[in-house]
This record gives sequence, structure tokens and C-alpha cells, in this order.
Amino acid sequence: MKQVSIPSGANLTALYRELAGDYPKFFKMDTLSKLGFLLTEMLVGEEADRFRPREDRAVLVFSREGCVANDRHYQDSMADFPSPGLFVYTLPNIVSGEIAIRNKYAGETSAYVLEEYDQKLVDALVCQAFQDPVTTSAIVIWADCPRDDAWEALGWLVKKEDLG
Amino acid sequence: MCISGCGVVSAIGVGRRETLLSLKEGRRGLAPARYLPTTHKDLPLGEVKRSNAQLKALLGIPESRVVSRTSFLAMLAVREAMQEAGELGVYRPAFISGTTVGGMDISEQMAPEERHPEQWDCGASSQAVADYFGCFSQVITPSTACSSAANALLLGARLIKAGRCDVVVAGGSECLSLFHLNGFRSLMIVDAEPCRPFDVTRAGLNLGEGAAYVVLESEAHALARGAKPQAYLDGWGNACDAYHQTASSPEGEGAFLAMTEALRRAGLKPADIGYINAHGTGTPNNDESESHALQRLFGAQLPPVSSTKGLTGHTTSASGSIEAVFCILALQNGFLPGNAGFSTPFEGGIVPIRESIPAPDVQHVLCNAFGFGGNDTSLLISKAL
Repeated sequence: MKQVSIPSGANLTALYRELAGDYPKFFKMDTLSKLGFLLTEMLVGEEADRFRPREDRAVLVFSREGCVANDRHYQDSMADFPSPGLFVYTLPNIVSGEIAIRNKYAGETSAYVLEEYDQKLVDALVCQAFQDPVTTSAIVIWADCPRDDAWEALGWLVKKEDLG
Repeated sequence: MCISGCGVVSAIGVGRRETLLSLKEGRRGLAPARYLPTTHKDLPLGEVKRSNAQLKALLGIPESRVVSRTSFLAMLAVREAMQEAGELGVYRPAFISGTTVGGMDISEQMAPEERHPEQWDCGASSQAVADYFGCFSQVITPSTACSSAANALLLGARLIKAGRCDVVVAGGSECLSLFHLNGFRSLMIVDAEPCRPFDVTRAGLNLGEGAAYVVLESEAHALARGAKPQAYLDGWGNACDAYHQTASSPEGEGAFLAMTEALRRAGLKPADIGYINAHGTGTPNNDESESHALQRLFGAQLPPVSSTKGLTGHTTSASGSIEAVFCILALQNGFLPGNAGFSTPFEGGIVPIRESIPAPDVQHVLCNAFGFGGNDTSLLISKAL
């Protein structure tokens, strides 16, 4: 199982230029989505055939505080005029959507808000995602960024054969 | 997968009885804001017609306690579902509750320097419900925008199937907040008039609020404890539209895949489906995309379709379970709810049923819930004999 991480406070723009560079929509994303996007680039960037549309890959996102950092930015914008660009990212599952759009994954996507990182629960939910006959692999993200400059960001590429 | 109880709260009723009457009579629950302190005084909203003080009284919660309206609405619906299912406490059910707004109604009323949204997040609003009942072994909060509650049912069914839970109370709850009302307005998809799903003049959605839950267990488990199956959750499917964060693809790819998977899991063909409760938000984009997905799947043999959002407004994260309970009530009472607000189809669009019609023979229905992020879910619900 491939595992990647992004250190808290790392320069995400530099990382984007190193890993991708061809997806300007990245700059519109909130920090949570940027983390999910970059973790996925690290996980599948080298895959042969990576942009081939596929239904057999699920995207599961786990977080403690979801998109609360962006929620605050959007809420601040309401004092003047509510910003549609910020509102879009007030959903924690937009991360899984961004990953699916970038990589053309039409498989199952989900986002869970957990009180604390809970390995047993994450394992159980990842196993459930493989219960259909379609799913053969899953991008699993733990991303939590209560602030824009401090976070936890871990990603895994789980394959059916890893489940044992 | 057996559904042994359900409960529902929305703009058209508190509880199954009121809801059933409203569905049969096509009573719309849309009206200008009475409880949400919005400056948009004329916008039609699907508010639950009870103040927070009245909800507290219904629940026996002290007036002084601060609880999110999302939790209040959930408590009412969970209580009704568990009462119907019979004594569940000894089975230590899991509680799976989808929401996205969570306790935003509380944090947005606080002064910015006192605002601690992390104390009123989605998980906290579910936990408050679990604490109120005190019988749940675990609490899970899926948050996938407007498909959250549908995904709670999907997840609950899987946990039971995998032998990880015996009984699950699954659904979702969402109260109105300025936060998402203003956000949906900023996306230019809120209609200033009562919404008209699938109509040529449709110009957006009306936001609503509510909650609904079902009790899920295997049929063997239900029968062993003497519970009566109310309906069956026979299929479920989730797929990503992978097109745009807040818009559906023109051909409705995610919706098509989700419905196809729900049918496959249930071992049924499109011809077996007697009704579809569409996501049908009333936005130009959703209704066009969903029409195409339905036409692709059903061809010329499209069964009756309706969106009930013209009655309730779009209850966002709770819509999946609210509409699943509408489907259960329809199957139990042999009718199909109508599509309020519809009069003329658009070019290439489906023609929904306008008013409720008797349908005693319908056995299987699909219930769609699609969320921002392209998160599309379809549930297949069957009649209990």
C-alpha cells in the first residue's frame, strides 16, 4: 500500500509546480482541497494511463474539522457580499469531487467527519467501499486543516489485494 | 435489508401522519421566512413550522440549553423511527447521520470573536442526538452535501451486510442557516418564486429543512425480535459525476451510474421500477441532467417520476432520507406523490406526474439524491408484503 504525506506548513504552491503545474484550477481551491489534490498527485502521478476515465477507483476523504478554515473565509465574505468562489469549498466532500474531476474517476466518493483519527473505523469504512464488484482500488485521504498554515495530510492508495 | 421503522420532519409535517396527508393532498410547505433571521424576507423557504422553543418543548429539553436546530429536527425524527421499530436499546444500534450545515445556525449567530465553529460542527450535531437517546454504540457523520442522508442509508446497509452492526438508525438532518442560504444565492440557483421542478420556466431551487431516519436491520434480525418490516432497502449505488463541483454533467453520467448500480445490487431490471422520486431540485441544470440520465436508463418505458421538492423545498443534506421516507409512505399507502409546481415540460425533459395518484401495485421505487462534488446516490426501496 502506497502512503504519502505533506508536512504541516509546507509551501503548497511550490509542491503543485513540482508535481503537476498543468491545472490552474488548483489556485481556486481551498487548503483542504489543495491537500487532497496534491496527495493524489503523489499517489498516482506516475501511474501509466492515469487520465483514462475509470469507475473502479473510489475516493474516501476523512477529516476532523472538514473545511472549517474555508468556512471562516466564506463567513467573513458575507459581511460584504457572499463569495460563490468560497462557498463552493464550504463542503468537505468537494475534496473528493476535485480529485474525481482531475483524474476522471466515476467510482464511489465519500467524505467523513470523525471526532479523532480512528484507524479501526477508517479501515472498516475503506473495506466497505470494496464490497461492490466494481471497486478495485481507492484513494484514501486523511486531511485536517483547522488553519490555512497548519494541517495533517496523509494519503494512501489502497488496492483490493491489500485488504487480505 | 429490512426497514423496521421510519420518522420524518419537514416543511410539510412533523411526523409520518401529517406528512402522509400533505403528500396525498399536495400541500406545499413553502412560505417566507418565519424563523430564520434572514434579510431576504420574501424568499419562499421550506421551514419546519415550529420555533426552536416549540421543538424543545416537544422534546422535553430545558429552554436554557443551546442545541442546534439540526439536532432538534433529528431528535424528533429519530424518536419516531425508533418508536415504530420497537425496543432497540438492548441491540446497541449504530447512529449514522448525514449533515453538512450541522450547528452552523448557532455559530453564525455568535459575534465573530466568540465564534467557535469547531464546537458546532457536523459531528457535534450528531453527537448531541446520540447523547439525547443514550443507546447508540457508535456515531458516524457522512458529509457529502445533498447526498449525505442517502449515503447514511447506504453505509448503514453495508455495515449490517458486513456483519459489523445488527441494527443501524440511519438518515440525516439539516436546518436552514444564513450561511448556506446566502451561499446558494451567490451561486444564482435560488428561485424567488416557489420552485417548479422539471418545468420549462424553472429558475432554481427553494431551500428547505428537515430530518428523516430509518431503522435498518437484516430481515432475520427483525423477525427474531418480533419487529414488522415496513419496507426493504434492496439496492443502493453511489457514483461520482466527475464533472464540476456545483453542476451536473449534461448527460447525467453520475446519476445514470448510481441508478444502474442500485438496480444491479437489487437484481432488478428497469422495467421492475414503478416510480422514481427524482432529485429534481428545480435548477435548470439538475433537471436537464437528471432527465437525460432517466431517459438513458429507462428509454421509452419511463415509470412515473416526481420531485417532491416543490412541497418541501430542497432540504439539502437531509433530502435523501426525507424522500426515502416519502417513498416508504407511498409504498405502504398505495399512492405516488405529485410534482408540485410543474405544468409544461422543457425540450428533452421528462414529464413528471403533477398530482398524487393511486398506485396500489407499485413494488419497487428508486429515490435519487445528488450532491455538490458530483456525489450521486440512488436508493432502491421495495414494498413490504
